[in-house]
Amino acid sequence: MAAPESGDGNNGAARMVTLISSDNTRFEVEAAAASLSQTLQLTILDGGGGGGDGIPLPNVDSATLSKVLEYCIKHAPAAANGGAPNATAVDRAELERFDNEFVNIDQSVLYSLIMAAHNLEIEGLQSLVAKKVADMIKGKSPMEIRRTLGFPDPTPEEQAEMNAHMLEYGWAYE
Amino acid sequence: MSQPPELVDDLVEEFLLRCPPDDPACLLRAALVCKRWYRLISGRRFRRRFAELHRTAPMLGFFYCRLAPLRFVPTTSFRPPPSDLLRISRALDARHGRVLLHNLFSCQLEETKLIVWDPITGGMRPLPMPRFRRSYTSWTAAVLCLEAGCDHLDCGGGRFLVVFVATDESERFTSTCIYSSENGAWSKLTTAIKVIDLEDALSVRALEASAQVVGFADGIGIILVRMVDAFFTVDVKSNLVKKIAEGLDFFNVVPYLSFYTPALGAASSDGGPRATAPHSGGACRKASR
Repeated sequence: MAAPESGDGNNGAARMVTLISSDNTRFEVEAAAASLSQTLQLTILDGGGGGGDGIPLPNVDSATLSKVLEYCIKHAPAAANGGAPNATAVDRAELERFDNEFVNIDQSVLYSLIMAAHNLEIEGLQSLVAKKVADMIKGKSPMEIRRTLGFPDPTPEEQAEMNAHMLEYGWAYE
Repeated sequence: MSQPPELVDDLVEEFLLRCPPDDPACLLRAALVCKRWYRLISGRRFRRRFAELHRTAPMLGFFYCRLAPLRFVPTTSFRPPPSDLLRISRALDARHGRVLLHNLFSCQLEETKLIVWDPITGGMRPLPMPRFRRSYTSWTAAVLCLEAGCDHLDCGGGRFLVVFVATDESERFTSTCIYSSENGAWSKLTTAIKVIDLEDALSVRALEASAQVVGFADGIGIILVRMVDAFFTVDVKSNLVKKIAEGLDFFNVVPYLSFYTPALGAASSDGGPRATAPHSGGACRKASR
């Protein structure tokens, strides 16, 4: 994911854009950070989001957007280097530490992030939150997964089906 | 905890895709959570995406013979479904999720001497032995993908070739013929005289004399080595050595590499489930239990 504003850093102040959450909060961020979103990148390339305009994001509330932007701001420099092939091990370790910390959040926030990352097409964030949910279900039985993710209790038929599978696929439960 | 409000299939798929390929039980348990997840995970599209994301199929275990039955030593949580095939066969080769078996039961028909088997779906396809004019003393066979330009990420259900190589009694002539799942027939024989220096080809001389290379996991650079009465995998790139089994009399060791995505018995009809046979079209039946 290359940021389109590679020249900005050399021309003094970086270009800023304004994003407006569903609950009408305005966020001003560097265009390079917002451009991590494939969806926003096109608008920004067209010159949108500058001045008093702002880009409305009717599907993302302010709490989620501020979290999303926290991610984008942290990852923008590495993305600007074309995935940071020459980043130092320290930089990479720092990003990894940030990522781990970043997804250490309440489940409802995590779900909002999944939706936002999907709507805004932020590849790295999509992958990060998906990995987090996968980690949450790792090592758990189907029943435990249901509880973890807040599914309603299974109907008797569903329960019977799960038991039958359990007999057939014993190795999944070892 | 709140349930994901309306996480559409696309989003559920995103996190299910991140289940680790080297822990097949994880994806299997997820498939049993609810019907919707099951349909998603057992579909062709999911299998394709899972393979594309993770790229390299893990070694799920290896087959070997020890006196009579064929055994499977798992190196992950995966276990093949119970099958009579294991009782009567030895493994000749495995590639792209298919295993080529040699049916050792002499009373069985010539038509089912070779069997291509998919240990994940349980699908199988028997083939006859090729007919040679000269009698041959030693032979082996390999199973390959027939699709041109295939990336082999998800070709287990596609068309395949079986290459049969035999050496005659004089040990001067090596003949090859090829079976295509498409025609369901063996090609004409081609005969060649060729000597390959295996030591050079495999460059295994560096290994201690007491270590015996018994198998090679094509594509991921893992060799299986026997030392005294224990078996190890050696990762050629990292030199990482892992002990995987103990015991004597291992032979015909065939590593099995594949992405495991569940293809549960009663596959639903929507969501495009995978065929339960390791080929498209033609006669097939499910391996008996």
